[in-house]
Amino acid sequence: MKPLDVQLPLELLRTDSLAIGYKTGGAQNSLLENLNLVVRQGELVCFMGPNGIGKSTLIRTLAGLQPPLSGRVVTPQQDLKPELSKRISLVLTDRITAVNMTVQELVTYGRYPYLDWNLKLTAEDNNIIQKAIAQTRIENLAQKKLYELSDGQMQMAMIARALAQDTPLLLLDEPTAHLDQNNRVEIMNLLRNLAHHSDKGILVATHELDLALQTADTIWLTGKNKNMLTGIPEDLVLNGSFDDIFQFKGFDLKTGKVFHEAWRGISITLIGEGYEYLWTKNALERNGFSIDMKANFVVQVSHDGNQLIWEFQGQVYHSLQQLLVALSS
Amino acid sequence: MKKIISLKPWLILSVLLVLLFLINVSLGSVQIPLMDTVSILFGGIPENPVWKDILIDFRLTKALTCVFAGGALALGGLLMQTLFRNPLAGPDVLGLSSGASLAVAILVMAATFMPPLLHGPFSIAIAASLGSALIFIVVLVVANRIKDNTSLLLIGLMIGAATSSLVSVLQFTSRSEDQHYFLVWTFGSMGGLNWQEIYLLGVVFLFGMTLSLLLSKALNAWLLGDNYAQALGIRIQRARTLIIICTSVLAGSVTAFCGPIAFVGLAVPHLARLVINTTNHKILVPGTVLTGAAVMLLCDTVAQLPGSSLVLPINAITSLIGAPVVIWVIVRSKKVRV
Repeated sequence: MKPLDVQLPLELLRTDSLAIGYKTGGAQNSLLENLNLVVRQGELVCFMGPNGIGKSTLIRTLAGLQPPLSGRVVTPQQDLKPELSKRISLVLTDRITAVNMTVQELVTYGRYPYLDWNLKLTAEDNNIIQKAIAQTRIENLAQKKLYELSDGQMQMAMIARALAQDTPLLLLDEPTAHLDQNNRVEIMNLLRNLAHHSDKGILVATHELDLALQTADTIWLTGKNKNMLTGIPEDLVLNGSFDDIFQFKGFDLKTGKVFHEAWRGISITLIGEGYEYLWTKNALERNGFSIDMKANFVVQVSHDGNQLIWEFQGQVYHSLQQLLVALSS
Repeated sequence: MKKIISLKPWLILSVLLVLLFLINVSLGSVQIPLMDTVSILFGGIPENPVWKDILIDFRLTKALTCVFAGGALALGGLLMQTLFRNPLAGPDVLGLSSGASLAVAILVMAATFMPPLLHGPFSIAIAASLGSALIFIVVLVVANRIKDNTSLLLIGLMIGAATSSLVSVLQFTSRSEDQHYFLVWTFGSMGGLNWQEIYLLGVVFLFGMTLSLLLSKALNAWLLGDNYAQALGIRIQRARTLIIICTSVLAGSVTAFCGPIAFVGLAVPHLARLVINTTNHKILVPGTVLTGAAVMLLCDTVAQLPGSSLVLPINAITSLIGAPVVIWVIVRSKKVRV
């Protein structure tokens, strides 16, 4: 079979046999080695791995904040934009201590690579700042001081600052740490949309396994031998790479569920459909029952008007809790 | 972005500065009517020719020294608070003044067992500048190793304690007239500068202010931390060096000519932020300089004890005014911010 003639999107960042880590005195403490990675235009890459594996160090090295131990980082638009600050913008885990500025002032920092000492903003600068604020939907926060913001709002403001830098590449180090579920989902969705609709290459170091699997175009997964496994999320799940690296305890990544032990030794046949079926199954399995098509006990879930009802041995129950009490006795 | 820079604080500051300047030059042990004072300042001939000499060579030089020294110290404090991202940083807290004191003490009091050091007109100024620069470099080297600001302040205090003990050893072994000369220097004084010295102080002050304004982009970026500053294209090593040079020249020269002035560097930037609520150094630098000049004129006016011929050490007044201000700022805003 002839290989498909696919035009891959533009490379925004490439590493050639990159090794990262720290030099302390004469000794080298290498964290990751022989990395040949690519970030392309319009791609959201999630970079995952256990704590202490060198995620922040890789971000810092890619951003030019610290030198590689060997190999190199290439950003192909080098000729067009000689300054690194016009090619890569960052959201780090560093806390901002100068909280007496407004969100608008913080976002304005994104224009600094384009300004001289006099810091005079052009109309275009102002447009880009407003666009960054609009993209992150923080218009209502623009005049607030940073000390008035919640963690989630602060993170949005930091992302807006990075967007105002107007770079093809955006690197983020744990942008969803310490945030609640809503904010985490919002930020990952925002990053995915930015990648797909503004043709940016976005690299996110994160711990959010479930979110990364659902939003990332590509996953970088730190391997056991200081190497990196790359691929689309589904491939890495199915070939067992995730199980290998994270050593999940009691969690089945392929079904996305926690393992349940059928400790009651009782099988139940469950009849029903849709979400009602799935959540009833969840409740039964969580309580130690196993679901079997040919079991003696039969539970049926159905609608009675706009109310859900569960039928078991001729009795009707109006909540799963009632059903479980009846099943347990 | 619509930039709304309110003109009101600037108007208040400028009017206050002019008023304090006039009050400062019109008060003293010799009574000169206010109208004559103003007319002399604009080149008029007074009834009493002695008034002109008193005004031009004594009061005007003192008032100008206040403006330059107050502005320079306040600016030095602002630069250090930004550089360390610490609201409690200041030339005196981090041991810069102690460094200058040590250098001047060596120059003044160690002359007995050292070959006479250069005794030009600026020898004290040069010694004080070198002393504060040396301490600043030590503090900065330590700062690069220890990221924790509280530890850094403690180290600054320790350096201050160590230099003070060296100074007392010098005092113990030196002649009493040298001791007295040094003691008077440590009280601080805005008077006694000749026009040549004022020109020099003025040049240093203008140099520091121009450099700070040119550095305002780097200073602003510094507020986000070293990493973000670097990622925004600031050459941080160069900027850090320039900020250090600027601060030590500012603080060193003032300490040299006026003695170690306490609290102005620490307290004034907070007062300025209170009046002009911003983190943008392009606005903060001139605002802090204006506030510093006004505060120094006020302190000096109070130190003359209007209506008496007694003059108090300026340091006593700056501390008396500065300490409550810092406490008030902290209590009012619950938390001091850079």
